Amino acid sequence: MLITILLLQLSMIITIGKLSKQPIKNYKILIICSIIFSLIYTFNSFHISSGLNTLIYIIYLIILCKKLFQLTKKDLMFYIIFVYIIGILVDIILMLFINVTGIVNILNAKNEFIYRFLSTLMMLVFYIVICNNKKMIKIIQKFKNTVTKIKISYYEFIILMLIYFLLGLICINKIKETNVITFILFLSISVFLFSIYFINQNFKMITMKESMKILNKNNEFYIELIDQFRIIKHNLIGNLLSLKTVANRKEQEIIDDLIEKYSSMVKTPVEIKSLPPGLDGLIQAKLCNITIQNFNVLINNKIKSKIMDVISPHAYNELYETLNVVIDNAIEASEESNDKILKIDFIEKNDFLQLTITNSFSGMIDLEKLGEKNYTSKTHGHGLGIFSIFKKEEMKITNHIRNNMYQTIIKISKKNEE
Amino acid sequence: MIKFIVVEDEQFVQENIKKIIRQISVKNDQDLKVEYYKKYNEKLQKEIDNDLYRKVYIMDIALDDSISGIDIAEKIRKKDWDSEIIFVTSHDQMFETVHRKILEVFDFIEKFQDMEKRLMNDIQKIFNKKIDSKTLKLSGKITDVEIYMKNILYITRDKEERKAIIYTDKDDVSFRVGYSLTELLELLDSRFVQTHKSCIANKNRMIEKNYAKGYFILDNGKKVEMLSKKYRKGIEE
Repeated sequence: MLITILLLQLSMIITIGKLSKQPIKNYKILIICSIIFSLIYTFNSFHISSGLNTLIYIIYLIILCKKLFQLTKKDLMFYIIFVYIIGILVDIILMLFINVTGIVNILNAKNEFIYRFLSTLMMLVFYIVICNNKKMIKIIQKFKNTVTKIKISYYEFIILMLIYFLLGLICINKIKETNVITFILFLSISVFLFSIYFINQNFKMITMKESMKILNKNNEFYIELIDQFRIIKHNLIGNLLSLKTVANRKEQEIIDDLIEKYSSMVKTPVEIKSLPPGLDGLIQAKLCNITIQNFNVLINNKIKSKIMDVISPHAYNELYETLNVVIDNAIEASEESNDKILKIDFIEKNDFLQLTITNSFSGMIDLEKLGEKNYTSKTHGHGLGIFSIFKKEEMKITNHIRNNMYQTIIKISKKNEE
Repeated sequence: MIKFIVVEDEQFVQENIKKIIRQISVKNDQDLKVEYYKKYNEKLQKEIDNDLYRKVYIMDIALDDSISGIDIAEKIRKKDWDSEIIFVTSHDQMFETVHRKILEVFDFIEKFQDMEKRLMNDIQKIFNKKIDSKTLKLSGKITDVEIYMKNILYITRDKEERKAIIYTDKDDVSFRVGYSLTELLELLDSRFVQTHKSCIANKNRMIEKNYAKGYFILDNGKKVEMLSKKYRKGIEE
């Protein structure tokens, strides 16, 4: 038992390392922990139920892998569960094979020691095959990328784990009674339940993508609307000028006043070409709302890709909502200040996008209340904008104030390339 | 010790700047260190990271490279707010206003309009300038703030909540922070003194004190009625 569990541990961890393409940080820790845990596991197997022992084993695996590898929580859980499931499947296949073929009688396989030895040997072979097959590793990586994209709360995850563990326990018991049909039934039910869950998650993904399409259409609509608005105003000024030629002096003054008013509104602060595609309509629409004179706005765009192509639909939706709030706040705050400065920088790096909105402001800011519901530093605010954006999952938002300039930095990870 | 770092890809402009710095060196009887670059590179980044000298960067904005003078200025300001930046360029007023404020650029000089005269004046001003770049750094719930101490006028205790209000000289900007006056005094330097049980003031910004009537007047004309005789000794030291 001691040797089998030791071999099993080592092979599982090495497999996790190969699948995640991560070297093991410290072999000494691995060997020492494996030996100690094997002793504990063997001792426990005589004193506590196999179910509880298995649970302890899984927790131990998680802690050890966290120490040995540099993986995110999701990736770590995926690899541990995947390798564990492979082990269980191999175990099941072996059990079925032995029982169906009648080898059980020849090998005296009911003897637990022989059975465990055979099972461990088979698992080792399987792990070796997976580790040395580059194609298989690639497929597993792709599968991991898909699965880890699924949004799941901690509660949902714990419930899933409990169901999986419970089924595992049932399977172990059923294997001992060699009741193959009941066992297959339980497997089928668990597969069915998991499928329903994954379909539900995919449905959410589809809804998100649809929502993103709508936002994109809105963005294009803004751009079209602004263009039409500019054309109409341009034509209106032309018509006013022609009216001026037939007007008397007093009427000419009235017309001049109208022309001046519309002329100042024809120019947009920035050219739409200088804005990142996917956000151009929204930003242009916001900037067109600036009605005061002497407003200094500067856009520095270094994003070459189309935004919705490089970030996930969920991230795009959140970014749109966030920018809607942040830019409104920035414009309102800078309009109320003496400097009236607004600068937006868009930067694209290898694995993330960064948007920096810098604006001047005036008046009092309560550093403790900023971000709380219903608190606003502006004359005409509601206090809900900043409160809502800090609940976003897909981005990291930080704020700084320096030299009386308020800066909001939004960082979004690009989606993994499939 | 001041070090000049010139980032300019046009040779004749670089020569002009070289000439000006040489003249200033002679005028001020100082041996000035100067480094020249045509674009951003590793050596320039090492120079930016080096905090042994006070630096004056004289840069063109449009360099013959993907990294512009503004990008270099942003890299400088990530580590260093003490060095001065002068842009020698030709951009519009809005561009100048925004970057002057955000990157604390000392000046924007047009290349083909009195460049030499303006650059000489700017460098002379930098030589005569008293460096006072100490800042007060505080953290709020979601925002960090960094305020130049020279811009802080006075700080009072909020009567309703256990907070302090920091009043600055910029645009009526003030901050309500979750720190006590005692905690703030520890973070500020010696120019800040307690004038009242509920007030700390920047004595360098005070132009008049009246202990009898209990007020002081700041250099922006504001009268603050928080001056107590109890703290006279500390203020006058």
